[in-house]
Amino acid sequence: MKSLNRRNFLKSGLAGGALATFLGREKPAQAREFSGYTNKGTGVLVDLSRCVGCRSCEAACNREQNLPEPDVPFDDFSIFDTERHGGLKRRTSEGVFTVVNRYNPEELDHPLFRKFQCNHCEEPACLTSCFVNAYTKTPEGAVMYNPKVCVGCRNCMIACPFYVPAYSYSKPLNPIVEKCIMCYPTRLKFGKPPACVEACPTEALTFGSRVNVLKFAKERIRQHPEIFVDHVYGEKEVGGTAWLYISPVDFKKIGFDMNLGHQPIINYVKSFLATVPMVLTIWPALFAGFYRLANRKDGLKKDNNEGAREESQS
Amino acid sequence: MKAFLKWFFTYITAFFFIFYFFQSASGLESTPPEGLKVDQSQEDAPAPKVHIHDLMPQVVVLDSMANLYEAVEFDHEMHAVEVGCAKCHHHIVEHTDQTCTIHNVVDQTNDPFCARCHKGWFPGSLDKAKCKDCHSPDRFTADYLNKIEKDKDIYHRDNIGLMGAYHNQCMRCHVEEGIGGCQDCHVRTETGDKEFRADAGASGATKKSSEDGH
Repeated sequence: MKSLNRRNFLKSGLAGGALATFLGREKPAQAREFSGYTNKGTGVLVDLSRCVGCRSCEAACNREQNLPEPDVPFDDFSIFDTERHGGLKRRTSEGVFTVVNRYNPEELDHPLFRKFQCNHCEEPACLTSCFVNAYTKTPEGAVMYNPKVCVGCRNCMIACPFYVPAYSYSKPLNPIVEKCIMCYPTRLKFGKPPACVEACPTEALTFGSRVNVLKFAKERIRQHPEIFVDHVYGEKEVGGTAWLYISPVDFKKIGFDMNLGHQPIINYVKSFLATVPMVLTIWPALFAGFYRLANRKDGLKKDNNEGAREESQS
Repeated sequence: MKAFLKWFFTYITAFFFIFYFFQSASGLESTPPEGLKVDQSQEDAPAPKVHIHDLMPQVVVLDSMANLYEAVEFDHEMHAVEVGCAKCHHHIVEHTDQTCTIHNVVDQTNDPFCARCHKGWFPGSLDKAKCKDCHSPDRFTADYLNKIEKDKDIYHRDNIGLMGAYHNQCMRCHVEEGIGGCQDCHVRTETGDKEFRADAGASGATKKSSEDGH
């Protein structure tokens, strides 16, 4: 057997490390070209020019998901005046999976209403941030949450670019993350639209395959350039979302975050995360080897001493 | 010369006035008072002229949301008289009362692009041109969704459903008129009250105040 000296060991160790780093970098570089699973799944197109702010969707969501009693009835429109701390509009919270907010853009002579819920991203940040795989993206497009495996770390709440998942702080014993599940278990699984879509009286919500509703969105913009801003929100944002929006005014003015970029959130940390398993597998072996090499001479000395002792004894 | 011109123009104007008077008088004579229904006197007319107001529905009962709201009796005649046909029946050109025939209202042969496919779809009979012929009452059923996903021959895939079509047409004016609330037209049923959690006020007040305290 060829003797393993320090020089050779260091050489091969460094080469292996460099190779692992190189291979580890290669994979996320490919994943960066992700542009959404556009051929699968359903989607909902939200036409903000049609919404009249009747809150029927909120009521239907509450009924369908057996949510607790709201603070005010769903026909109370004074809720549009409520503001959270810092002048922010209402958002989804525990027991409230969807909200409708009112905006008053100056270019319109009437208020504009915006429905807000989980956008069911094509590459969901909540899903990728969850280290116990509590989240799944179903083939139908819904992002589902499994409370049985959730450990309550709430990484998903931090990861979500739309601030959608909410935590049930009122349940101290078994708190769970709550968010819109696109009515998957009761409706979407059977090819039915979510309850809010069915309840919408003005068909501001159009349900269908994501590919189709995206085409509808672009066609509506093409046919009515005088109404719509030429942008489909959710087509590319954070890698694409199942819920798409078209609007008569600039999206920035009605609370949409236009700085999210077109990359799925996970892509920003993928290259770093890829090195974690490499560190975990290679470094122990590498440093254990270094340690053994460092102690090799001691061992040899010990062996020689023992041999000498045996010789002297015999 | 000046005097001559002055008299000349006066004479011409008077002539036209008299001519116009006789013309309109003879027109009145030839139109029978019940002629609004079927005008038989015009033999060379391509189709018998039937006045639209006699054939259109007087009241349309809207009950697709009957679980949440009681059926609405939509006064079709009043709306037709007050706002005109084309305000809602959106593919037609606006007609005056005299020229408004069923043929003109529902058959779109006057638009060459529509006529390519739709010629003869609604030949003369109003019951063949209902809103739901194009605006499906089952817009999001699996059957309908499959049809528009799979059938390559359908051009109008993004046809709004019946409830959406009604609301979008109605709400445009009703909001302007200040009667845009749901319950301005729809009377809510008990199920509807439950759906909208109409009882949520009482206990909600305490809840809200506790939230404000934070």
